[in-house]
Amino acid sequence: MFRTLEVYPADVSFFSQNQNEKVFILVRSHIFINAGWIFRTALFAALPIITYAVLEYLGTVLPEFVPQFKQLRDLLPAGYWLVLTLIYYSSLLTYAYFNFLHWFYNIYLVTSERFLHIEYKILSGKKIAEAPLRNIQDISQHIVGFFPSLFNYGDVSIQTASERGRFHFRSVPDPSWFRDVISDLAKIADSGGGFAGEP
Amino acid sequence: MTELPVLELQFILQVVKLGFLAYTGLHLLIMLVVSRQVFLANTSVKTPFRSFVLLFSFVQAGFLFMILVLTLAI
Repeated sequence: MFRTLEVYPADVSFFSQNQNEKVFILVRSHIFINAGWIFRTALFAALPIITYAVLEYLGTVLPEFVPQFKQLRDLLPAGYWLVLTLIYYSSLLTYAYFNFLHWFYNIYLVTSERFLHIEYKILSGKKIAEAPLRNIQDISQHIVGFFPSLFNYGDVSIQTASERGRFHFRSVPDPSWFRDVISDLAKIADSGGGFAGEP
Repeated sequence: MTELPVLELQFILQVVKLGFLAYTGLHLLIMLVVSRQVFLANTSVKTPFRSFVLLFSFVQAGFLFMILVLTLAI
């Protein structure tokens, strides 16, 4: 559903796109980088249910160890517990949604003229960096760690002649292919050639 | 556990309710700001599934509004 690397992506455009400019590649960080927050969300979603079940069980089997659980439960009316549960799960949902947004709106685009990094930090604004393909001087890739090696993702660094200097494409899927394509596109752009073929 | 006097309990419940209202109200406000930001982001970069992402923020805001109403009702 949410592909992290798309070549000639359909239905993709951006605000400063020139008339004849084509989007060749849309990249997001590898989907595995979301594993941490997904795991935490699942853990915290299960935690109240597990805690309640354990206390209920212990209250039945060993009533002398958890004698006040029933009284604690009865301290607040049922409506309060319902609202508290809804608040807890809505906060959890918001936490997951914020993390998802951070991933979803962290986009790298490679077009026929330039490459862009568009990053929306939902509560603190947006960051956009771009450089023309012909300004690319040097490209390197780094796959460091167990999971990046296992799932084949890593960082690609692009040194440009522009003011910004170095660009970092973080946790890009298939970085070797990506580096190769950027390198080829830079060569074509540098030689003044067209972009008839697929990357 | 010592039984709390009825008045004291009522006071504590009101304070808890006020806390629920303040938290949910702030949460709803943040979610509305996020919905607006997502809408703005969607207008500047058009990618697939952007509508679903925006829709979810509205659903979440609606859910929070429901919690707010429910808190007022208890």
